[in-house]
Amino acid sequence: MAEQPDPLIHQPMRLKIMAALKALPGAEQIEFVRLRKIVEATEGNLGAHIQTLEQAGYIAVEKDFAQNRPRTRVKLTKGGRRAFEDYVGYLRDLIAG
Amino acid sequence: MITSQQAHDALQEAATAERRSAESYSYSRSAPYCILWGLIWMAGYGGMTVLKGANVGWLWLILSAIGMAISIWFGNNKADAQGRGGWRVGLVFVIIAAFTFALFSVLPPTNELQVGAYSPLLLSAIYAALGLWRGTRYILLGAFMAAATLGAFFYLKDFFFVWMAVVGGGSLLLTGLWMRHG
Repeated sequence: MAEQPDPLIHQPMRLKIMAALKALPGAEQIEFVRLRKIVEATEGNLGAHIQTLEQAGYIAVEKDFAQNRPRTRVKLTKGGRRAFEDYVGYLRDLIAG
Repeated sequence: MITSQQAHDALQEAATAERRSAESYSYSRSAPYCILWGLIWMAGYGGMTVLKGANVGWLWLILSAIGMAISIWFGNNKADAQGRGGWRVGLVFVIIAAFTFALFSVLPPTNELQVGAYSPLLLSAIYAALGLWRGTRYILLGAFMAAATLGAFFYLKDFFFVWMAVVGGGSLLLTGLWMRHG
């Protein structure tokens, strides 16, 4: 068991983002707008956390245009999935004592 | 250092976000099918109010073929990142057709109202069962569709097909739009 939880995922909103992305099958992406509704964040708040997670290599962000509208899609990377699982394992170990 | 209670709360938050995300994902993938088949039901049941006999069969055959072709195209187009999904949509229709053939062989319907009520009732049961895993919107759709179908079957016989076109097709269409918006 790690001595300290991953500080990047430990932040409540980032934990929710990582959990929401983990629920998607395989390498599926989710649109920013849909993710915002799921984690109940403001646009600016979610954008800032996404940037932090992207810089850590936990998520990948893809920006393009769909039907002439800008679209941002996000997905969990392999490293991010591993980090999230480690974090959840840390919490479970803590509860188990 | 975080406490055991904080760890428990964090896991619950994560579980809630995972469940909401899984539901949202499922809704986003089901939405186009609901919209498509809502429109097809509107056209099919609407057509049954003016067409009779073999023409009704032809109408549903053509509409079903169109619906299946578009559904399979959706399936291929929206196959997930691992490429799964497309061929399964086609297989769903084969399973439903085989079940319907078997059921009607054992319990042949005696009038066109029974045939008209069959598909909505079957779909209601499928949606309600699916909702136990995939989210409450499926359960609501299934329950509403079953109630609307049974209500019209027993109490609105003269307007059954109009009712199914507007209420049956309409509820599928509206649920599809609701699902599309997350």
